[in-house]
Amino acid sequence: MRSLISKKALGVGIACLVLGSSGLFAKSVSHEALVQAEGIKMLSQDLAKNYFYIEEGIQVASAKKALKGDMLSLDEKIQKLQVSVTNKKDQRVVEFMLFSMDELKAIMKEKFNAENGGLILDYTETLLEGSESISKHNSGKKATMLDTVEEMAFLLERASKYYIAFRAGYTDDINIEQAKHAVEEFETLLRQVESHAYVDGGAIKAVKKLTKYWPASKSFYLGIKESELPTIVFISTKHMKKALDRLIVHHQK
Amino acid sequence: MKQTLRGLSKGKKVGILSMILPLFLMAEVHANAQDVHNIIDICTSSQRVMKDYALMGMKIEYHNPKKDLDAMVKRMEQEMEVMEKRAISNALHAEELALHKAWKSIEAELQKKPTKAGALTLHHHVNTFAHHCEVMAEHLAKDSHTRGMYDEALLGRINLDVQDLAASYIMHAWGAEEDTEYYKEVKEILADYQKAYDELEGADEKQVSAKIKAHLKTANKHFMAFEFMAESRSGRYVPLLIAKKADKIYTGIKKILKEEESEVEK
Repeated sequence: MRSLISKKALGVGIACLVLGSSGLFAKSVSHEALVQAEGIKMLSQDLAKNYFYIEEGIQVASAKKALKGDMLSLDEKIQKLQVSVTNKKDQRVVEFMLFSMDELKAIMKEKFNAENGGLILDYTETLLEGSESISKHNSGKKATMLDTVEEMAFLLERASKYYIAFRAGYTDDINIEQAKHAVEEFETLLRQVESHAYVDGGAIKAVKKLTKYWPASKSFYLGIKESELPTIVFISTKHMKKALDRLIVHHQK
Repeated sequence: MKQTLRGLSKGKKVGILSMILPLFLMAEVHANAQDVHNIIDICTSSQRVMKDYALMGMKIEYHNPKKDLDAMVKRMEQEMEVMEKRAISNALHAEELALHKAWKSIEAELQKKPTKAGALTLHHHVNTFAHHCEVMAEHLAKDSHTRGMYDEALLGRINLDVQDLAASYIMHAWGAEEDTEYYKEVKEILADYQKAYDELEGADEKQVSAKIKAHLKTANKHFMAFEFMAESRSGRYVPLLIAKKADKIYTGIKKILKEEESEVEK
């Protein structure tokens, strides 16, 4: 019997990163569409994470503000995406994203219940699926460290989303497997970053920070270690996010 | 072990349903529209049993699949009882017995704790049940002389496809159905759905009312979730969403069939 995510599927994310940047996919979408799709990918995770932070009563004020911002940004990005995709298949993807957004808005208006929480997780997965189906057309340049650190930022967001969803009781087989998958992928990419020969002092410091915070955060994300103080997880995630932002800026230069 | 019966059953299902459709237009009267709707609902509900069983197995119980499953089993039993009370020919008796035998096997499996191995056994029983159910549906359709049911039978087919697809998707998400078998099946069901949808959507309004078309459009919007997620190989799954969409389509189509039932009988 196979596990929920086969080894083959486990490597899809990383493989896409490599193939997508090795010119094997024909370029068929605009740069604008790719930018919007990447933004949606990240926001899909942030939205669900903030939703559960609010429901769990953690950092409520900032999570509420962030959630509102996520919804507005998603709306804006999907609309921009709508005008920047030209082929029928991608247009249908955007139509589906718009429909998912309508459904998300309707759920947000309702009071929290177990089913609505589960649907938030699922709808944000469909947004992620949609954004990836657009960005997989990407051809491009050679695999870069920028791609790697950007993917790590996404995976960190994803892992922390599952951490807070677990706390809220969403510990079904699928979520556990997805969290495990995100953590494993992050770790693989972290090794690449750690072995990269950085010379810039700020970048070296950022990598050290990732190495320092990762082991503890990892066990929280996987639910191995139960934290009675989710604020600690929130803060350590924030430190790692900052370090990754630093590396993103470094590689954008 | 792979379920080969499922593929066969699907093929037969499409075949049988294709046979049913023209029969609505030309058969002798004995069964009425409600009989035909009942049997189609029984066939469709058997796939819904599978869906809820798999959700429970995966511990996705946020919308209480156990409650849905219990209610569905109760309703199916009532519908089968109604069907049994109808005067049907001796030719159907053997099918009826076979249907009840398959139902007993389904019930026995539902008493056990859901497991992946159990899901395969249940799937086998559900497919056996569905096969006999569809043969019964064909007979009842033959027995019905009701006109104007062509579009309704197509709607029934759409509903059956959606529930079938939801059951397969959730089983696959659980890891109870192998990739090769699953993707082949999905392709077939999606094509079957599209064919029925296109036919209904493109039909003359005298044949398919504007009301049905409007409902169909809504159902098709919900179906987008299947269109995008069922064939995905990303390793990500949205079983709760798929279950909800299947529920919405099921309820919506049932409602419209109920409304049309009285119209057809006039």
